[in-house]
Amino acid sequence: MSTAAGQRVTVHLEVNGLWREAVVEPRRTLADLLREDLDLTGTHLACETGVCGNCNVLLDGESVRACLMFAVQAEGRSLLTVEGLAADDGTLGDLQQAFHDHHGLQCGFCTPAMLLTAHEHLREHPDGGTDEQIREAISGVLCRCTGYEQIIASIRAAAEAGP
Amino acid sequence: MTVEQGPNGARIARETAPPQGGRRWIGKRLNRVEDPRFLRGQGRYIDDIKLPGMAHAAVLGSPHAHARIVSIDTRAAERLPGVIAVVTGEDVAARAAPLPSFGAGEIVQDMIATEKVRYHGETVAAVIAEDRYVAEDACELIDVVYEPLPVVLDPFTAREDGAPLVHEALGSNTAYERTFTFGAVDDAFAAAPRSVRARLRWPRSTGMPMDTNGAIGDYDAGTGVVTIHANSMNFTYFLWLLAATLKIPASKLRLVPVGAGGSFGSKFFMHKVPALAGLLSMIAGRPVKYVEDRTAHILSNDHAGSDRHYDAALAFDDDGTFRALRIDCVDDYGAYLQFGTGTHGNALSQVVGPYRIQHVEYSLAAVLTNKNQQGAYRGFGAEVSNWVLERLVDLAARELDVDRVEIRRRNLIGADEFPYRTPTGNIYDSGNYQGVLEQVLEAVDYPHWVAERDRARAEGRHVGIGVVASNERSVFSSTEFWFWFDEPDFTPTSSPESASLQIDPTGRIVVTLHSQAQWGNSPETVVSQVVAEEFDVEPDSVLVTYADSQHALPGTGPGGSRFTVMVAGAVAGASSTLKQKIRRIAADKLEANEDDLEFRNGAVGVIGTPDAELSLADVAMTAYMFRLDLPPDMESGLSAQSTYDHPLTTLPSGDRSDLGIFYPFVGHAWHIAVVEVDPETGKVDFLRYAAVHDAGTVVNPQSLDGQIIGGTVQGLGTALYEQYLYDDQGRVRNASFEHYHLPSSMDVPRITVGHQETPSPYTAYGIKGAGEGGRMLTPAILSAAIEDALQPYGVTITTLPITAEQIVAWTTA
Amino acid sequence: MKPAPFEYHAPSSVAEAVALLGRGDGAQVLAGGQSLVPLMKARTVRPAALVDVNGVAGLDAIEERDGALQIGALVRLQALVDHPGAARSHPLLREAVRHAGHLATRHRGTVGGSLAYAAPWAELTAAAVALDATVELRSPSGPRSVPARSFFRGPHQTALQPGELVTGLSVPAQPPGAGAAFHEVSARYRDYAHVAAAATVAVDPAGACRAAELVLLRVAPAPHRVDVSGLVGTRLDDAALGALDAALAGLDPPGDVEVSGAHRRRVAPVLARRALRDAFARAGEHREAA
Repeated sequence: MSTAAGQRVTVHLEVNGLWREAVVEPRRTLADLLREDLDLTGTHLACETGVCGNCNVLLDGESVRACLMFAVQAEGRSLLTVEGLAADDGTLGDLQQAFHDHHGLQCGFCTPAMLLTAHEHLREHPDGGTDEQIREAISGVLCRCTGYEQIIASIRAAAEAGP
Repeated sequence: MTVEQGPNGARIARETAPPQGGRRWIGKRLNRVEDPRFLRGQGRYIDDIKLPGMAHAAVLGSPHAHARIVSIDTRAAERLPGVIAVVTGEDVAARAAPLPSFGAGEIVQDMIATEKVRYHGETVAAVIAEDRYVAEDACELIDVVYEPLPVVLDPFTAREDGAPLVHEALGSNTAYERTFTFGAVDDAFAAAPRSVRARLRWPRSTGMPMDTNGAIGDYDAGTGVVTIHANSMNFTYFLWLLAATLKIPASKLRLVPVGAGGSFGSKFFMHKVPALAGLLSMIAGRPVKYVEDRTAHILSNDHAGSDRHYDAALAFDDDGTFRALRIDCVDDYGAYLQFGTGTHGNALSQVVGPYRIQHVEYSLAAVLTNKNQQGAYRGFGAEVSNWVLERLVDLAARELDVDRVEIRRRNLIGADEFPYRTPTGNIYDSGNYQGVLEQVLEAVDYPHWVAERDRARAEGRHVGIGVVASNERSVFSSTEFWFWFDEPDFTPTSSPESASLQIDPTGRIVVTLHSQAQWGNSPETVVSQVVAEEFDVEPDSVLVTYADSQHALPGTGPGGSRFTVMVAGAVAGASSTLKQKIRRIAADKLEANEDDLEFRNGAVGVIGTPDAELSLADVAMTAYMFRLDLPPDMESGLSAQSTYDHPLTTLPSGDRSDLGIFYPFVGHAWHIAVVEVDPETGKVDFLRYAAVHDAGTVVNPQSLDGQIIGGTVQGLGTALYEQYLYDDQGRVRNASFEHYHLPSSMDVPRITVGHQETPSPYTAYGIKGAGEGGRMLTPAILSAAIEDALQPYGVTITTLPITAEQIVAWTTA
Repeated sequence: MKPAPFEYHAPSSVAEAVALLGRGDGAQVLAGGQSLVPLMKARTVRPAALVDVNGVAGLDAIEERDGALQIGALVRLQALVDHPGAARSHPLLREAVRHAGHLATRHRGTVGGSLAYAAPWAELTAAAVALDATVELRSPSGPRSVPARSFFRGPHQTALQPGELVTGLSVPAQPPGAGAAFHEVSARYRDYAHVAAAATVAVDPAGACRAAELVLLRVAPAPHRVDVSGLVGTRLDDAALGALDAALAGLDPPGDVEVSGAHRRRVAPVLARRALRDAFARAGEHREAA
């Protein structure tokens, strides 16, 4: 497949269980596709250069920086974003509830990426692993508010509460 | 409200009586009411908002730190499909006035530079386009011809004759210079048998919130109203300055506060971004969004932190009793001076820390250089001053060869000495400094760690302990912004906060706040808890909303650890009025005496008679619908508002030997850190970190812990990682997250937090501010702990950040 | 911070990819994008065209043949870290590559991208040189192989010719029971390496060093292989390692925005010793286990 500069192309992808499509330039990032074309603004951009991890989403189950992928590269793939974590009626999922119960967020900006990254960690380590492993798991997502302590406590609590 | 005589002739306005008995909701560890929307990804930050017909802006920043703008050719950019307009300094000058300033003199800052640029990244043009991609494409097509000018980057060089001038109109780069003397400083230094002196360097860093500054301008040509949605709205009573910049009547500026993903001072008085978005919207005739990208935020948002060079000395007796403090500071403010020297006023509020020091001299030179201007950063200058003081205290302990805890303990202000008047005139309202110290020592088992350190040292390991204290002044009045001048132009004396309460006809309480929407603090939770306390309703039944500036009562917003204290006072005041009305209605209907009524469980009822009560819904329905059931002099409806002024402030004396009371609600904290340093790589590991804080009455221990830990880690960034790096031409070398390093979860210690509560006698519920405390201690404690760990090398730490490279340089010297 | 427009190609075969790259229109390869995309957003790099090789078939396998590893260019760095066979046969690969960025960037970053971009901090390049691996390349004129030890020429400089595509890395079998270690210092956890040391050590039945390799990052323009043949026959005691100092004395590492060359010179010998010691200890553990 080839697309000329400036030409638009239709991208189809599954987001939170629904197939969506958008017509975008090849240069449009996956993050901008989510935010601007699909109105899923829970994926946040803080540095746009892949350092802060605030745009982490799960691509076929694996965490990736949505700011460093082009939307066209997600053709046919399956994404989980923060909007897919709560029940349809808005009831918080267990991990979200643990963040709520343990003050795992302040300004809330890194929270979607933290949740998704923790979600991935708990899938691989259902018992949470050690505190050091939890720290390691979220080390690629920068938070400027919390100092991380209560985020780690939240993930630990979610692990202890079980799936 | 009652008014009483306070310390030093102050007039104290009390919204509530001092607490009697237990509280039902204040002090509870409640989950935050703000959380669910963030947890679902529905935070609605500024960049998440789309208005119909909205265009997008990008800006072009100067690649030079100091250069004359010879010409700007925008034609190619304008021709690019999708571009709506390209705006330069010339266009701005034709339509707008300079940006607001609280500083002195001839220092004029424009939204977009005209004639010359004064720092790397200063905006030289803005593009409005159909989308952000195209706006950035167009920025690349703007051709600016610069004539580079000699740069001035070092404040000492800047003060020399013949140095290049940042502002020619000023005739000098020294924007302000003054020495304040409190007491007999020279005599005290001459009389004291000992003293220590140090040159200390605190480099510039910044708050660096994850959410950059952003705004959407929305000009309505029909009404002439400029609506600006912005992720900051502090100082609602100063927004006429922003209207003046846009050359519109203040009544036609409508700023709508949007919640922000963090500020830490970076959005304290946000001016460049909302002004620009407003103006661009006026030019485009449609909504325009401008959100800084990270590079623009790093380069052109105010560099929040201080940039100071100190020559400081502490005089003391042989027994370690402190006598006098002398501080000489040269502060590199950068190219503009919007806030004047307020960050040093802040330092003066607690310049002696928690110690009895009678004599203080404080000299300041505020110098202009070719860097971005300073703004505000968590601590607002007092965190720097605390680092300086604690460094001097550690040096004094070393000089006397006494324990660093002992020398501090010996000089602490006693619990029986409050309210304590400091040499500058500011008072400390209350405290129990010894109690906090003992708690932190016990929390970590201090003797155990001393023994561990000594054992490790004997094995050749490099373990060190730091123990430092800090006060945390909270709630500024406003005098610190002008007491620098003998004849100031403008002398505000309050920093009010307001709240409006309304009970709807179904009995639900809605609170409207009048400044910044939440930016990581917990205004809605705090307010809900205070309302719950007053009315005994469930906190999560309370809805908190934010007024826009056209409807806002005076509000100052978070800053200087003021918000919780002040908004609690405002809510208490409005509650008091509203409860009075409810009592009258209920007393009438229940045929009871007003004084026999209490608020309980969402109702108002007769004390001791469970059946005799009316729900708030019953009262509200009556108040709205049944005018003829109300007392004849009563209006329909159920709402009240209150503006809470600074409850305890006095004017400075004419000669400024007494600065008055300006920052009087003073918390207190001790931290202990145990670190192990790898002398070969410079890596610092944490073995133990404990903090104990006294912020007066605790509203919510969970969110207070969050503030303390978060602030502590931010201070850790300042201590170990963060600083702006410049090349010799004044270009910022680390204008990205790749090289400006915020601590990650793997770089920070596990932190345990303890609390004491010494309520303020002067605030609603006895609350003191607590938002900045953590950052007041980490730079000092890491300096102390690392210095202790490197004791075999005889290191004295006088410069931040303490990098791995610096540590290795010391150990291999 | 948005990239400039580009022509986008998504070939599905190596032949198609190299044909596109061979057109000479300034097309660049897009693999994991973890380094390229930030540069495009800063517009310091603005390729007219991107050849996105993520859909190219046959480049994402890790295969073992007689102890040697054949690693496809599209193998994600995290897949390499997680691969049990690779960890067994070539433990240095995991030790090194787990230091590369964070999980989310290792999920996208590729072996081929890491080799072709040749960032001076790229851990994989040090491992490839230490393990005497071979970089497999393809151009319209056919395949060729270049030893890693001559592939890396300097920061972001390689033997890669215009129009050539990295298709894989071939890593020869290692001496049985060799131990490996990787030490790195960076500003924060998992930042770009300020200095790093990759070491492998094999021991003889008596427990003495039989063979050793040491490669340092960021002390020279390219991954720097240090002659450690003097360690053979020793037990890597202080005296033996002391001889390293002479081998490292002549280094003149470059400084950058984060640290000076002098710092690198001070820390490099420290990491070198630590990596060698750890590799030696692990080799000993293998020997005892066997």
